[in-house]
Amino acid sequence: MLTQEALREEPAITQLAFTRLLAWLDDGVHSNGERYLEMRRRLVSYFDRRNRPTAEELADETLNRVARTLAQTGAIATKPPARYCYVVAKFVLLEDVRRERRHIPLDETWHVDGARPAARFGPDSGVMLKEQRLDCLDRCLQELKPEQRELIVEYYADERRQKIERRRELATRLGISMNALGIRAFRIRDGLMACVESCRRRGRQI
Amino acid sequence: MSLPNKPGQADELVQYLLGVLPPEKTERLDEASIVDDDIAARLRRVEDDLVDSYVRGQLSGDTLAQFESHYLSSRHRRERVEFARKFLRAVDKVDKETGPVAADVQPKPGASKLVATLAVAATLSLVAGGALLLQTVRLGRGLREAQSDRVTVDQRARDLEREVNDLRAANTAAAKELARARESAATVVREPATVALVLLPQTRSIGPVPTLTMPAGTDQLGFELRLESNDFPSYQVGLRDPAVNTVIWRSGWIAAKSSAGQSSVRVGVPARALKPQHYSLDLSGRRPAGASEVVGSYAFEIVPQ
Repeated sequence: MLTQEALREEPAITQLAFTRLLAWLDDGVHSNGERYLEMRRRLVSYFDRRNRPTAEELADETLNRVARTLAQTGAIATKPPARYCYVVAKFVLLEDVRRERRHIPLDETWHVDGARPAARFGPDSGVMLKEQRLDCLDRCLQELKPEQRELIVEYYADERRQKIERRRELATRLGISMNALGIRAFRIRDGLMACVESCRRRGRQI
Repeated sequence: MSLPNKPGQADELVQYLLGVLPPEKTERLDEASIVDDDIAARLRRVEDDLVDSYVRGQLSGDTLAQFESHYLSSRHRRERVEFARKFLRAVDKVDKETGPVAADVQPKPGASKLVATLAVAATLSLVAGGALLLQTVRLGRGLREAQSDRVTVDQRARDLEREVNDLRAANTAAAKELARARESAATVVREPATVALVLLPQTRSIGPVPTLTMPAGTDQLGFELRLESNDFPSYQVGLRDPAVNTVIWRSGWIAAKSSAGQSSVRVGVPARALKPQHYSLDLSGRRPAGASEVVGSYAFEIVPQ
């Protein structure tokens, strides 16, 4: 892929620079790397919404550039750190768009055929891959804590009552705001997605 | 589909996700989705709800058309939809089997807060305790053939337990032998027992997490943590349980070893501190003056035999 080739020329950052990046993103509140992961997720989504096929590589390139700047200058004055990341991400995006204009992209295409959701992925996915995904989801669900399972079932289950009402009741029972409940729910869901993806990748290498 | 808290904002977020906002608003939300924690969280919620609505066939008209022509144009987003379909199927299945958990619990007016809290907790414990026992088994199999009969589940659990016991018995001899070998090695070399796993410095690339099987009877696992550079006279290793985000064991301060130009820290972790799940080893370095700082972390997973 063109973008990957272009980015591969950039030198990787050292472990020390990476550690400094983590501390800078934490902005004084130690998060044990959570803040970095969250920023990377946001950047991947940003590039993906801008229809960049290599969103993950671009997110990493953005953070690499920030890390290199930190290593070279010792500090970045822009606050909060996320704002600086966004500024760098915009440049990375522009450069990627320019690169694409100079070359004919060979990325996959997606044709909408009007099929309903149930039929959409069936023919495209191999039976083995689907089975593997089921096994992975199976395993990842098993790893959830009981209270996490309870929460996602209550939060995401199909409507027997109005969904919003049910979520409000759940938030009341847990003694938290609707916003906090939403954050808990999508964190569990994100964790499951990451777990399935990691499991699937391990499976491919066996 | 359900909407997030702030009125007026949800529609805009949906339009943003569907790519129909004018450029200036799109750019404003691009920035907010990275810089503003609140917007970032709301956007994720709206996106999940949008995807769920699509999967459940609840989108129609322009929204459906835009979803299929724009949202599904990205592989990354198609994977979200694919995941949502399986995830919701599993969730619905469990929900149907177990029913709502303590949905009608309300604190009585006039009752003290403590009593109300205890009542809720007790009710949840009673109802959820039974329900979740089923969920533990059933949710995991949510995408397979229905296994609704409790007796069958219990029988299967008993069978599995018996199998595990048989395996454990079969492994006892080998485990004892391993332990004996490890003990004798420990008396000869005064450092942690056999290095079971070499861990490389963590990088950002998402690769497979190294896995390790722990034979029954193992009392200590050896790790060799490779260093990018040996910058400290001594190091300390902390075993972090990511499930509770707590360091559950720490080594003493130890010096790195160098061999063939490669520096590494070797440490033995007591097996009793480990169970089948993910862990990370947090490595800290200490300067001669006494100040310590985080060097990095090394992820691994203990897998069942």
